[in-house]
Amino acid sequence: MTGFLSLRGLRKRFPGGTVAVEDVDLDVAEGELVALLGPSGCGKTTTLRCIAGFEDADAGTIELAGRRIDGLPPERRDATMVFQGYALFPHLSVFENVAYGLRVRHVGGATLRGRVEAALGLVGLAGLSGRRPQQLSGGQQQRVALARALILEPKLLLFDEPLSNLDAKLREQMRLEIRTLQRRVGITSVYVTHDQAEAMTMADQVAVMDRGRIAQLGTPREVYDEPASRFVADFVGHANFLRGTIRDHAGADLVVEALGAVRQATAAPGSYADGTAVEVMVRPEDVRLDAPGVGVAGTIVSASYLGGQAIYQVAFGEVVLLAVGATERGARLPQPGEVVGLRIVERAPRVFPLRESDGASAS
Amino acid sequence: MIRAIRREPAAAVLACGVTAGLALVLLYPLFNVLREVVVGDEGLDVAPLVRVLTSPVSRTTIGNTLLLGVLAGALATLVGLGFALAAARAATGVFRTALRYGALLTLIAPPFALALSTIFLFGRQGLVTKHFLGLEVSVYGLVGLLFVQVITFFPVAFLVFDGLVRQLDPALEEAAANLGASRLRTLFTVTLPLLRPGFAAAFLVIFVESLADLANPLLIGGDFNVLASSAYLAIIGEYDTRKAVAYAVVLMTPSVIAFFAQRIWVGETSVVTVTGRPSGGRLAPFGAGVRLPLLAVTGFVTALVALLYAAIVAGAFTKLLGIDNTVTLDNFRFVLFGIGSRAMSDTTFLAAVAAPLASLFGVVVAWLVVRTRIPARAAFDYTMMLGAAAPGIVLGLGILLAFNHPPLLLSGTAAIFIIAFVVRTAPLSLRSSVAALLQIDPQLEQASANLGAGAATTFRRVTLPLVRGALLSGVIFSFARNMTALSTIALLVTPNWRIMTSQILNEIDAQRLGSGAAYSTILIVIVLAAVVVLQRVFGRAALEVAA
Repeated sequence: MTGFLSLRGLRKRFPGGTVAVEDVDLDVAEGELVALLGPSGCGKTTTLRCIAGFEDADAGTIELAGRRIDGLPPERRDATMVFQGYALFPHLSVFENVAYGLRVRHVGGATLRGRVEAALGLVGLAGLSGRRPQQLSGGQQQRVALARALILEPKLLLFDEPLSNLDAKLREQMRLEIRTLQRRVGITSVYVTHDQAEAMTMADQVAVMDRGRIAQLGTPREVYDEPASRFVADFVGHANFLRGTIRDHAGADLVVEALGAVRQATAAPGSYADGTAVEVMVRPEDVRLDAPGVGVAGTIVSASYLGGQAIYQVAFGEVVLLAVGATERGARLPQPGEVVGLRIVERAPRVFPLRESDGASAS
Repeated sequence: MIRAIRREPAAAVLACGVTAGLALVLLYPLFNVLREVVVGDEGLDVAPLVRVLTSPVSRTTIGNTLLLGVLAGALATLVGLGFALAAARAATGVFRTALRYGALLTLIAPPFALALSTIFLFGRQGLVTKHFLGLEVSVYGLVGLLFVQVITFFPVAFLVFDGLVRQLDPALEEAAANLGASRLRTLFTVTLPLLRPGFAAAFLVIFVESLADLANPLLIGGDFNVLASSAYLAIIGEYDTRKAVAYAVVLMTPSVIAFFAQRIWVGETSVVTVTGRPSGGRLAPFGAGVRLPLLAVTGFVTALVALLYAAIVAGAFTKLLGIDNTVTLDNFRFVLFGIGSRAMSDTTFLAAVAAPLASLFGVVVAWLVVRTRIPARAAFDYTMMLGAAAPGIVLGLGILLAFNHPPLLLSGTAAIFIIAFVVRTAPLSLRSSVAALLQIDPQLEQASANLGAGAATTFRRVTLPLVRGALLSGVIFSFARNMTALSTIALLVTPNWRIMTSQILNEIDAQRLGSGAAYSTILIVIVLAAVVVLQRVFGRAALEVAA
């Protein structure tokens, strides 16, 4: 089955031999928003620019709505983009920026005016059409860029880290706004970001990218709860990695011994045998602090109060674990040096094959 | 290659046009010069070249040329640096404005004006030397020539350093002060090292200009012969084309080497600084120990420039300044109603037609170089820059040889002058357009393509409006340089089209210094008027981009 947007075997090398995209297959269903998530240099932006036509892929095909588009010049791909720096034309007014694509298509007169006003209304900028982009705030510029891309009713909307220039508060607000708008218009979208919270709040599917490949494609819940690799576990959210030993296994379910306890766990793809050493990933919110004597003993290294919750670093032998706990009004936090009990609760830990040279660590 | 053409058809078409254009108007003429050097009437014959390289007289000429270039380059660089530092860090108010205008005024001076007024003021019958100081000195020769070239070319260094000084991040000097460095120490350990790219750039550009200079050596060089004037005189005086091209090739070698050395060493660094935004704040003024000597020197030079200009005007309104100071309008009458009447309209027409062509040519090549992936696009840049790197007399000689016989018989037509002007000034537009394009985020053009605009539409609706300033400054500078060009067109002049600079040279040759001064004054007024009008019409942005 192929998607509304379908990438097959996409590969792009830059002069000098840097591999940007190694081998990417991706299917996006109609109306869906897929986030390409990864650290800088993972190939997410290059993938997006290949779809838009700003880069020529060395190999692979791109299909949009059943039509090959990889040979087409950018202006004929019907996939408009919201650029990272917005790329608003500084010599044109807000109105003319939004009207640009229609003017290129020789739409004019009342039709043009009506559609531009409608698009500006859609993003909440009615009344600002006479301004220059430089006279707008960052958030408003962002909306103009969005209106300029939406007005053409393209088959595909591309986002290149569109919120990275905004401050934290505005960023959270725009996430929800863009998501609501995208749902309402029902437009298929690919959204590049390095911010995992952004990907989790906005996307139907998250494609986590690593060194030019898609390491995992899944719903936000899947990539967080069932990461396919240590890289995904590490990049999406915070993770503690412990050394453990397989005690029993049957398919994807296995029993593992770690942190002085034997527990049920789920396994990432790989081959496992009883008695072999593995890596065990535990999310910080699943490490529970308790009274001394409960579970295993650990020593507090640091405790940070964040309002609704507190973050702890807890030493257990050689290992320092990250733990997140709820805070109660008036209750005192454990102080550095204090000995506490540690328990692993909630979700089953995730097990990965042990990589050579890997020690247990928290990140 | 095929893929690139399919992807960017508009760029491919333009690239073909540019290749053909450059080959015809630039490479073919230069090729003609080289061919003339090695091929004589009876086949292969390099004897003229060997004579130029071996005869004691011409070896002295070569030595003179290089000596003058090095001295003028070094001195003018220092004066320009002084003006840039003084304007930014020492002078205030009216004085700062005076320094800036003093530095920029000589940029639009016709080539003889300063040499002429130097003779008026400091010559054997000079107003200053003879009448005020009672000295018997000769300005003809190395000293006079060097003086005139330094005054003429230091604005080039001023513009280079002015750009760098403006981009200095005040935080760096603040950091040095914060770590305990004195003002003077900061100047020598932080500020001047940061300006280092400017030294190489300014020196090499002025070295090239000095070598190419024809008017001043002819006028004030005396017995101090240089290559440019020798090549000119070989044709005008001896009708010996082969001797002229031999001089030309010898002249061209150090020019082209210095020019491209500057592009390779300095070109890259100056590009980087374009993106570096100062972190805000203002550069602190210098302390008195630095400020006062700096102001004294630059103030003196500014006064000298003003005096030289005043002397041209005074020379224009007197019978013969320094000898017979009777006020008269005869010089203007002679020029305006005599020889100059047609030359003014001819020259202005040719310069005005060539200027927009040169500017557009430069912008198009800049776009190909910066924004497309056409193979060998860097070659366009370097090839077009040959038009500025080659000394004007060499280009003129090449154009004369190339278009002197059918099917390309253009001598005596307007076309040959327009070709010469465009070849000479398109590189100026290329550089300012490249700088302008590099400052424009490529995402803007990608956004246009992304919204459905083809390459041509994107160029017209996005790129061109954004480089408007560079385009217009290209027109202004091209016009000013066309009006004042001598070395490029000196050999192309025929009675069909009258060129003002060439006629001024004739006047001075005929010892009619007064009418030469009047003629120069008229030329300065035309150029200034054109610059002011264009600036008024198109806004200040135009000149700021160029500077």
